[in-house]
Formats: sequence, C-alpha cells, structure tokens
Amino acid sequence: MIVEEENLKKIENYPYLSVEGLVTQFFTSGGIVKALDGVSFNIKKGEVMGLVGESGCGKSVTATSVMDLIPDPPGRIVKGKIIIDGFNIIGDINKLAKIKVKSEKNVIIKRNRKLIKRHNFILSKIRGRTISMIFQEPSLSLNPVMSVGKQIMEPILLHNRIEISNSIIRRETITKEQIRTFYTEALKIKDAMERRKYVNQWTNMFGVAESQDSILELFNSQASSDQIERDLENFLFGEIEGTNLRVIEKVRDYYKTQEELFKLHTTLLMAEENADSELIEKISMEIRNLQRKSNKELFGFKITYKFLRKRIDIPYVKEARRRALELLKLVNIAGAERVIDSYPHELSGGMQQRVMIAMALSSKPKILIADEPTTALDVTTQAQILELIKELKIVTGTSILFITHDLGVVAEMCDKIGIMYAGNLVEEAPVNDIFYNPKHPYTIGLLKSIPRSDVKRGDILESIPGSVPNLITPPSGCRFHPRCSFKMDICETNKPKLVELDDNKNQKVACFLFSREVESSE
Amino acid sequence: MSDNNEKRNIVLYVSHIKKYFDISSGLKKSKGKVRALDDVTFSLYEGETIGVVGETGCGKTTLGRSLLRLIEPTAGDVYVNLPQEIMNSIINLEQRLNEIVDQDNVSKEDKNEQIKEVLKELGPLRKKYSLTKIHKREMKEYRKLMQPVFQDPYSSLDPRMLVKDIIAEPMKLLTKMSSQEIFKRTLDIIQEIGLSEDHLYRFPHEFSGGQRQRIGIARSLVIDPKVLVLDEPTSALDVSVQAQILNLMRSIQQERNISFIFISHHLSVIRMMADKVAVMYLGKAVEIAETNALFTKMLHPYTRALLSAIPIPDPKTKINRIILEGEIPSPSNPPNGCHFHPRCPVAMKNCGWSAQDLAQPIREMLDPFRNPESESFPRIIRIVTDNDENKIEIDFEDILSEPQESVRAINNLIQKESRLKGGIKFLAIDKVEAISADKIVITFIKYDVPKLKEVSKGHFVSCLIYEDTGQVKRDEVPNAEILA
Repeated sequence: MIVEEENLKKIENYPYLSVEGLVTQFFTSGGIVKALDGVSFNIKKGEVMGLVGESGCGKSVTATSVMDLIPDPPGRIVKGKIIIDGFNIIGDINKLAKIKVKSEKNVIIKRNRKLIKRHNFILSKIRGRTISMIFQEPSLSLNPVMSVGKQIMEPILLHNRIEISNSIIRRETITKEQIRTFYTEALKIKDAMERRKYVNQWTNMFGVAESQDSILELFNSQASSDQIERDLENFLFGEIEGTNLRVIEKVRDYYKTQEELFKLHTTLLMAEENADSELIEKISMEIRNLQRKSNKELFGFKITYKFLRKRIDIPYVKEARRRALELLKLVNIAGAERVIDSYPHELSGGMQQRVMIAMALSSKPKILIADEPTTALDVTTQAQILELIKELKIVTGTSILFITHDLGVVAEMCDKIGIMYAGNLVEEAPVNDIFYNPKHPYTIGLLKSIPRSDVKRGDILESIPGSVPNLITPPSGCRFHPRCSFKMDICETNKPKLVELDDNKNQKVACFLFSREVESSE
Repeated sequence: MSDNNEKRNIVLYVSHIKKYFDISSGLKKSKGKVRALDDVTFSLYEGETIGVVGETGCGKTTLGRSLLRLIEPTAGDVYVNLPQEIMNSIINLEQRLNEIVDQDNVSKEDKNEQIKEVLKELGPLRKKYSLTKIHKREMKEYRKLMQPVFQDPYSSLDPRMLVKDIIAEPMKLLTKMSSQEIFKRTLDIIQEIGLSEDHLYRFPHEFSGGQRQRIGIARSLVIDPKVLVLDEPTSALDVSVQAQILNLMRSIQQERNISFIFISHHLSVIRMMADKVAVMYLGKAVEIAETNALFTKMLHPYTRALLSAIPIPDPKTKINRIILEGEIPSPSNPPNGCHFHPRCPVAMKNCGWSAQDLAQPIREMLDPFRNPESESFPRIIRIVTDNDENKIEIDFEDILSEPQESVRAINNLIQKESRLKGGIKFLAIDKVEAISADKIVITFIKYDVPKLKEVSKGHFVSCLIYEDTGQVKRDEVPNAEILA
C-alpha cells in the first residue's frame, strides 16, 4: 500500500519537461553568440512556469531550443539535455555535428546527414504531438495562402491517422448486433449526463460525433426500438460514399509501421546514450527487418498513395475538419463554421491568436510552450486570451511554459517563475516568493522598474543602470556583475550556480550573496 | 492642484479636432470615410501632462499627428502658446459656440443667427491663430513650439547622419543661430540627456534602443519647445530602460516647465506620468479626468473594462475583471449612438441600437431551430437593413395568412428574446408593422448620442448613464452593479 502511494507521488511530481544544462550558441560572422549558457528547469504535470526577462536575455531561444527549432545555420544546441516525458530528445546532439572552434569568427561545423535525418524523423513525431507551441506574432506565423481550417487540419492529419483509420474501419464494419447492444445499453442509462457521456464515447469511437445530438434526441423521443435501429443505421451508413476499406487499412498499416519505427528509433537513441551495445545491435536489427518488410509489403501502396493522395484522404479530411471545427469552438470563436473557411488576413489579431491556440491543442499535447502569446495584442484582447488559456489549462491539464516580459501577466498565470538574464536562469521560485521575497539583485531591480498601477505621479522609478550586454563578448563570471550594485570580487571571475536557498527549498538563486557555490565549467 | 490651474497659463487648446480618411477605390473617388479622429476637445496648462490612452486603432496617434499638422486635420482648431488674454477670449468664444450648437429648444434660424454672431468675432481669431487655418509658411514659427518624439527609436533617426547633425538639424532649419552657437547648444543638450561628448561623433546604429530614444528626445528639446508630443516613447523599450527614459522625461519637465501630450497604451505608465488622462475609443474621447480621479473613480464602462484588463504584477491581488466581448468595430462604419454600445456590459435601450446591430439577432430569432414558434411563418427570402432610415424589412416567400397575428407573434418573440442575456437590444425595437401581405417592417426608437459632459469638476465623461435623456431612468440601467 505504502509503496503504491509513494509511486503515485512520484508520478505526480514526475516532470513532463526537464531541461538540464542547456547551451545554445549562434555561430555568426561577428563571433559566437552565447545565447544560452547552462539553463536548467523542470515543469511538472499541470504546472505553469513563466520565463521572464528583458529582450535578448534568451527567453525565446529557450523555447525554440526546447522544440529543437533553432535555425541551423547559424544556431546549434551545443550541450545539455531536454527530457520530454522521459525521453531525451537531443540525446544524439553531439553526434549530429562536429564543431571545431578555430577562433571566435572561424568555426567549422561538419554535419552528419544520415543522423540528422533520423533526428528529424524522431522530432517530427514529437513536435505538435507531445509538445507544441503558440508563437508570438499570430499574423506572421499563420500561412496567408491557406484557410485557417486547413492549417488546423494539418497537424490533425499528421498525428492522428491511426486513430481516424480505426474509427472509419469500425464504422464501416459495424454489425446490427453491435448497434442493438449499443442502444439497449444506452436506454438502460437513465441519468442524462451519464447517457451523454456514453453516447459521446460511442460516437467518437465510430467517427460520427456530429450526429451525437441527434442520437440523444432519438433516445429521448420514446420511439420504438425498430425505429431507433433504423435511424441509427441511417446515421452510420449515411456516411458511406464508396470508401474503400482495403485502402484505409493500407493507410493505417503504413502509419503503424511509421509509429513502430519511431518507437524503435527512440529506444535505439536511449540505448546509444547508455552505450548498451547489445541492445543497440538488437534494435538496429529490428529496424532493418521492419524497413525491409514494409518496403516489400507497402511498395505498391506507397506509389498509389503518392498519386492518389487527395482521393484516398477524403474520409480523413472529413474527420479532421470535424475535429478542427470542434477545436475552434473550444477556443470560443464565434461563428466557427464561417471562420474555418476564412483566411488569416480576414481575422483580427485576437481571433488569429485563438486559431494558433486551437492548432497547438489539436493533438492534445502534454506540454504547451506559449512564447509571448499576448505581446502583439491590446489589453482588452489580452485579457480575453489569458482567460482562455487559463480555462484550457483546467480542461486539458497540459503543462505550460509561459514566456513573456510582462510581469503582470506572469503574476496572474504562473505557478512558478524563472527570471532570465543574458542567457542564464538567475532565479527560479514560486510566484509569491518572486514577488514578495525576491533575492537576486536583477530580480529586485526588474520588479522595481515596472511602473505599477500603485505608483503615483511624482514617484521616481528605480531603474537598473546600463543595458543588456552583447552576448558575443559576455561579461566574465556572473553576467550581471557590470550592472549589479552588490558586486564583489568573486563575481568577476566565477559564475554562480543556481542553488536552493537554505530556508526555502523551492527558491533557487544564482548569486554569490547567498551561496558560494561555483558553477563548474568544463 | 485646481488652485494652481487658475494661476497657470493654458498653453494649448484643442477644439473639436477631426480627421477623416477617405476610402478611395479606382474611378469612384470616395467610397466612404474612416473616422479616425472624431471631435476631440481638451486644453493643456503649462508644465502639465495629458495622457492619451486607448486600444489600437482608437485614434491616439492620429491625434498627435493632427496636432502637429503632420497630417492635415479635416476640421477643428488648435491654438498654442498665445498671449493669455487672447487665449482666454478664444476659449470663451469657442465654448459659447459649442453651447449654441448643443441647444435643443431653439429653432434652426435662431441658432444659425447666433452662430453667425459668434463667428463674426471668432472667425478672424481662428484665421490668425489656429494652427489648422494658418498658412503653411507660417507654420515654421509654430514648429518651434511643438515637437514630436516618435515611437520607434530605430526608424526615427537618419542612419546616415552623425548624432551631432541629427540634434543640430532643428536649429539649422528653424532658428538663425550661428554654427558655433548650434554646436555649443548641442553639447549642452547631449549632456543634459545623459550622454557624453564623444557620442556626438557616432552614427545611430552604434547605440542601444534606450540611448537612441535619448537622442530623439534631445533633438526635440534642442529648440526649447513649449509642448512635446510623445507618441508611445517607451513601448519599443525594455522595462529597465523604460524606467530610465521615464525618469529622464520627468526631470526634463520639472526643469523646463514643458507640457507633454503623452500617448501610450500602457496604463501604468500613464498613471505615473500624466496629470490628466483622456481615454479614447474609436476616435472619440470617452472620458477625460485628472489621473487620480480616473484611476479611482472611473465612470465610463469602457474605462472600467480597460483598467480591469491590465494584469497587475502582484499575485495576491485578484481583480474583478470585466472581459469585453468581441472586437473593436471598424471606424469606417462605426456603430450608431455611443460607439461602445455593442460591447458595453451596461448598455441601455437608447444607447444606439439600430438596424445594423439587430439584423443578425432578428435573423437568429426567426430561426425555427432556436424558436419553434417561428415555424408558423412562411420561408423568409431576405432580411433587408436600411441604415439611413433605421429600419429592417423582412420579406416572406408567401403571403402571410393573418398579418396581424404574425405581428403579434413576432412581438411575443421579441419580448422573449429581450429577457435573455444580452437581450437589451431587443428593447430598442419601437414598432413591428405589416406594410404589405408579405412584408414586415421593424422600426426602432430614437437613440441618443452621448456628449462629453462635465460630471464633477474636471471630470468629463461621454456616457448616457450620466445624462438625463428622459428615455431611461437611472435605476433601470442593466447590470448596474458592474459600475458600483
């Protein structure tokens, strides 16, 4: 019993996303920009973490690094671990490219094409499915030549093929017996909510969720069982428009092999990380076998699929469109039926951002990265979007990494906050500790320099002297020392480590005022 | 504060300034007008700051540019830095004119006569002093008095000019100073804004955003203007740098007694910087008040929603947030009456509900899926909205068998809808008539247009809740608890 409870606790505290010692650099003609210099944090299930800092401090680079979307060239993740749901997505980062630094401005990068291909294959199955992102400028991140409906359907079609295939096959092969058991079961349930739940489950399973309301009405209408049966059959078989079950099965098989390949590759990656040679051999063998098998069996299909893709995809697109509509309703867009066919320029900023959120949520991700989702919006629209994100967090239970420079927004949205400065996390603590008990001099300065609504006219705002340093030649030691009013000698030479405070285990600070621990540089 | 005002001079008076942009398309010259700035009036004392806030597209920037005559205003007058007697008489005349125009119980001829009388006096003054009426050549004199500071310090400095030339340019163009004098002045000013002499010989790209904004401020200050129009001066900057710039501007104001027009969408910054605030919505000023009064006793529902929408950097403060529905409407076709009424949580029936607002709700009301009662009507061919005459026509496919019965049914539906959430708009329906066998016409009650009225001293608000129009009593305001 006790063991079980402990396990449960472990699961609860199990970080969905954990970043360890992340180093990202940009190799430019002007020199190496050390954008991130050893960033570490964890996000647990259902937790919202805020990343705050001035522009150029590495907030967005952290977000894009976590998605592994750093543009290469010039940028590369050099070191570190990004563990998403137990799997280190950059476990092979050192093998992807050999970086030879001759001088600041002369860096030779040798890329391993084959491994990069494998890396991208694995990441393509993770991005948008377990982790997805809301971008800063909705008007720039939506495709102007595609209707928003199509854009939302894209990730659905990419990640949910097997599920959709299964529901189509189930619907097509349904027997009268199954229909009969369904409605006798449903009629037995007297509680309206329970019945709705049951019907909802059933209709989703068979991919006819749009007729859920009609089915419920049918049950309430006291019609005879023959009548119900006939109508139900109509709902189900009304869908048939010459869908070729064999083709759908082939599509499912194709995506199933892809999925299996993905799983094998991830285990292979983990094995390589642990240098488990036996396992590596075994898995490589399996991958080769699977590829050979799929080449043999699915060769004909792949060619057909290439040429007749549009035709074959018709039932999938239909289902994806239904889901897209559902998502648009989830994000409170008025007139979703109209909006789904409109183009981004026809929508206002707030609506575009809602579409972006719908797209990010399309595959029920475990982690959502929101990179300044409200910076480009007006305050009243911002209030609407923040309210929406809060609601969605409760409904879907995703963890959120919330990036913003507005301390007001983090105070409202986040459970814990990380303060960033010049590529380092300088302080990490629960919201209340950051606002009422800030420790790091930079956090204190930042908090004092915001014009709060309770600052009256005539008060002088305290400001931090100087400006954010150039990251090509960052200051030595603690990167904040040139602007810090508590500077000591040690700050110039050594870099402080992010350590827990003695009296508060939740609050971590990287400053020599609180701990003498030095971050080891390899 | 108010005692000081009597002694202080009014340095700027803006009267009914308007800017309409034409929507032109192809051969047809004008398709309509975008009312970017619609009738804004305010005055500004010496050394005072007025903050202008509002959402995107509410006309803040247009206001700043029209004042400087960077764009030609469509109508209205701007008076700046006149001898106090002239300024006072102008303000008196303008206000009298305004009162005459606002009179309700006077015949048109009488009104015109009175207006003529006032204009006889005011006309020559306007021609002589109003910035919008004087000739462009004479503007040069006034440019010395009013200077802009622009939003984006990255695009408002010429990248090919040295900082010393950038700062010297206004002096070269507007004054007759010798080059030695100009250089000496440049040196003084660069030190005043917190940079040093060697910064003069650099190009703008060598500076950070905060430093560039300092240079922009130096350029505006160098010819000692009386009024500075600051158009979102810190929105492109980081918070820690923003604080430096705000402090700098405050110390400049104290030293030189300059008046600021501070345009920003950031309400906390406005609270810190401004003496009084004008809140704008769709080209109109909806509330003007002293800063403290506005932030503690805001009256207009829009101000309330706007203020409640700011996230407060304090996790323990929980605000009762009013979330506005929908988006800002297009200024080319603004709602009738009070522009804010379609989004207003406390809208009343006379706030401006008209045919264009109700076409869609009436269509929904007659949808048999929503209201089974409307199944008895024949199919509807179309619902026509007539915006000019403010009526809605419903064309049916077949003849109504009993028109009076249908009218009664529709009336019942309207009553039912008006009891639902957001049903206040249905109360604005005056009459439902069957004018022919297959046509029903819906007409609306007369709506009122709110005017900017002084509610308490120095607190102006444009909202019907604070006006007595005779149509709605004070205690009939829906959701009045929001305003409490």
